[in-house]
Amino acid sequence: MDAWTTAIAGVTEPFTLLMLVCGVVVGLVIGVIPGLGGIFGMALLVPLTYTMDSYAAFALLLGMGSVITTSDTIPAVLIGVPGSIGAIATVEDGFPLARQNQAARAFGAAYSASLIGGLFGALVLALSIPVMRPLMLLLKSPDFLAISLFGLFFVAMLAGPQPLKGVIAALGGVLMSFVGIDDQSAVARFTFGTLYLWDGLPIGIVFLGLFGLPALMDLSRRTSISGATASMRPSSMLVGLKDTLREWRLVLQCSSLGSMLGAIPGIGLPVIEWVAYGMAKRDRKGGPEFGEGNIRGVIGPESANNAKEGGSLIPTIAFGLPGSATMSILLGAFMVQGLVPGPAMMTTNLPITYSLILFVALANILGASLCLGLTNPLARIALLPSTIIIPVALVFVTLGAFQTHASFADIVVLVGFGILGHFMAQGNWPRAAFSLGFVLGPSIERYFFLSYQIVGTDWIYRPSIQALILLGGAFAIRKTLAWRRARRAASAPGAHRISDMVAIALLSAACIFVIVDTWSMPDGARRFPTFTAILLLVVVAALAWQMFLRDRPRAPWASDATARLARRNETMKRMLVPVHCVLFASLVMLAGLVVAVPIFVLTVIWSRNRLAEQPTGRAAAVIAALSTTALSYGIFGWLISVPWPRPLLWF
Amino acid sequence: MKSSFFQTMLTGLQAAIGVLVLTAPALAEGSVTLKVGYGPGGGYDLMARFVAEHLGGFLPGHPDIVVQNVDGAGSLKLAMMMVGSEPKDGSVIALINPVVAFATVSTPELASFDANSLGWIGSLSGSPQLCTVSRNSPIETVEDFLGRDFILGASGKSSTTYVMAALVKNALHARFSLVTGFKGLAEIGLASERGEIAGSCGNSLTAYTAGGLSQTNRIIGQWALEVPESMKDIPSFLELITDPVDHAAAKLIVDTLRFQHPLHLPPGTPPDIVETYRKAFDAMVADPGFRADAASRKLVLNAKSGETVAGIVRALTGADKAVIDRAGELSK
Repeated sequence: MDAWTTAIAGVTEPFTLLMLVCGVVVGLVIGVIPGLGGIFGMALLVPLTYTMDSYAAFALLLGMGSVITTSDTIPAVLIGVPGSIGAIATVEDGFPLARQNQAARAFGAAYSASLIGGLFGALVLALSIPVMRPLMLLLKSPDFLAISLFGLFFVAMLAGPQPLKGVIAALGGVLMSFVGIDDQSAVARFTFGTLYLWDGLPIGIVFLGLFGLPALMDLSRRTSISGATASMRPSSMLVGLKDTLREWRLVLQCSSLGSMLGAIPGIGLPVIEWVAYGMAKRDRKGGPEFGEGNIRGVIGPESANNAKEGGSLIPTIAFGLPGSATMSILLGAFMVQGLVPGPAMMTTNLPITYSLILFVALANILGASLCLGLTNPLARIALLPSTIIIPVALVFVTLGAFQTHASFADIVVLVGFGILGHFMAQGNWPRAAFSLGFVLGPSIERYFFLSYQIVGTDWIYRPSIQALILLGGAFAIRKTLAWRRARRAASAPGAHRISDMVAIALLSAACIFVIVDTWSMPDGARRFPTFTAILLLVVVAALAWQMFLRDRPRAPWASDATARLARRNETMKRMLVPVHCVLFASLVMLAGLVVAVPIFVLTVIWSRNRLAEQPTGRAAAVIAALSTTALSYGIFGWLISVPWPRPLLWF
Repeated sequence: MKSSFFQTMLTGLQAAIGVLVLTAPALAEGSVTLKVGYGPGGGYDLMARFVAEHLGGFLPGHPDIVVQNVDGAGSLKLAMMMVGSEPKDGSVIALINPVVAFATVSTPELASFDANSLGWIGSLSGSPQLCTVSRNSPIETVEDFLGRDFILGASGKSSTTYVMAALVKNALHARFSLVTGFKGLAEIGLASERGEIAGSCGNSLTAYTAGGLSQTNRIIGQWALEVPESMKDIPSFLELITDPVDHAAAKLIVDTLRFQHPLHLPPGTPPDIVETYRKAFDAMVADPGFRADAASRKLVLNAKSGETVAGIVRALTGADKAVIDRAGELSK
């Protein structure tokens, strides 16, 4: 019996298929809850696999891991809060589509793109089996440095109309990524004496804050997401499916990108998402502007993030080198099953390797089918009043963040980055560029030091680095020329805002702080933060020159007192969302989950009803409170392995 | 009208749930949290989850044991949390890297607590640490290893992979250079396979056999105080050190290898609770079911009791200041 036949026989065992279905269902649920992700799911399910055979164990684990990036689209499109870090780019155009009453179309496009992407990733994995080891052995540390640096070039694609703000945001992200104990010298960088920051800022909470909270803050001034009362059209989902098929080139491009970058350790999902979004953004194909509901902005990232799973299995199988954090937990399951990643996976254990491919493919088919079936009922959520959606979403966002370390500091980070994300969105500081810098910063620093320690300055002569320099140079010149042309063609720039002045002042102060703070650190810990801070200071100075000197004659400062007052009032209203977040977390610590959730949901609905044009009915409010309590307790109180702090009131 | 409805609802709900919560058992009651100083997936996490499945059965009341990952700084972060903020009622226990005990004397500015104050429950394993090189490299003997110019890979400077390699380099005046920044043994293994580095130190026997390192690497030497019979033929670095102070300093560091995967309670935990845990731990590691389960999961055990671990830690922290300082220098 050849390896494929053995694999198919193992995969089609009834118990194995049952485990696959269970894994897919768990993965879909995890994807929908903001703040939870593959790591959480793996940690939850791996202990259950100890007594299973290899096929059933991997069916459960890969079934879960393969579909999280399918269902994380649901909150991303409906409420603008990414279900996982794999949906942060989907929000950009998915949420505007929902606001235009086109949520079903966005879902149709996203799920079909996810399905094709997932199948493509499985195909790449299948085709790469004979060559995966020799191919991976060809890549050396300077090549990984080149790939990480290449990711940063996409900042140019995502920078928007003010390129300097994009560069500043990216460098700001890089600086933030240096928080924590430095691997080179074991020195604590920017931890301010707190243990919490020793391991750096938690990426999941940072992105939840940066993208999730501002979406809820924005929603707080609307009556509902779509703002429409018209019923959903079932045909909308088919329109989305057709969109994906029409954009087949983009789907294949982004799927290839997802599976290739997925195989590179250190290149996280956010990078893949934004690079795919950047690729989609090159041509809007007659659709609306990107960020205003262009369907390509949904299709690109969604096909890339599902293809990643197959890609990240390549180094895991070939070398035991996890392509992602989720894969590092999967490796634990390999050990439990007595499997050793490496050459044996291509010979004696080849049927198991083939079964992994089949699981990824089947899970994607099953996950996308289930989600497509639920599209129309889910899309109706966009019609629910915001008075209900905001408190319910806040419960899950806050608990999702809170479960990371079960510490109040999780909420501080969530709220801090939520407020930062809000002001970045308001001031046209691209958050996408910030995320790229934040994710790629540690990889760039690590691969630079590895390359430098291993080959000295010879790393610069590596072909990949030289190709990158040439490509980057050509790219930068082309974009600069395009921006100059666009600036000349544009009319007088809009009025500057006081917030930009404040941002420039704060950024300059932060750079000076970093330079002074790292001054006494060992070389290995100091070099990158200092270099980044100096570079950032230069770019901030260039932006200040642009704003204060070059554009000043054409742009009077915004000084309309009435407009300023209106803006301030609106900001105050939006700030209620982070305040509610803190209040809810305090209530959980004070009274426990079961008490805090219904009180919070009812109180927020009640307080928002006083301001709303269309108040929520009593029955709807009670149903919302009780169902949120049951669901949140089921997931965070019963299912989750994180022990919650004991409520202060009862002990 | 609506406001009064909501207010009534809220008051009623508060009262009802208050009664419910006061009469029902709290979420955390009857359970013990086992905090592990590393993220999910690694050897420490696997060991913690394995212990969590068994230890509860040997404790009074058979509590459920819930695992929580508190990763950071090679588990030093968790040790500091245990010292500073965790409850002392036996509801929280921790699994950390034993090198943390050495850090309290070698780098007190980072690990500022007394390792003797922890309530040591016992340790699960203790095996020599191996230095291995790629089978493609020309290094075949200890003499080659010490006398040739090549590169060894390591993770961070507080990791076992760094400390064990630095010990060879400084105590035996080896000529190799040490590259840091790899994310774990798998990445080091890949770099050695593609020829960027020659190999690494700080590999456990489990990593070498079950982890697949034996397929691509060969063993050059070992750091150990207690050498298993099956490893007698492997050269011991400790025996090659001739300087008495260096020998004592290296022995101090190698001592931490005798109590790997140690469990402990926070300082100030009442002695009867520590004793209860120690008895439960001893009963667990002697249990045939536990041992059979470990074997089925390919876990190599070499358990030590809480008293033994406490004794090792006492000897470690009470060592001569000059030896401690020298140990700090040798591991940098």
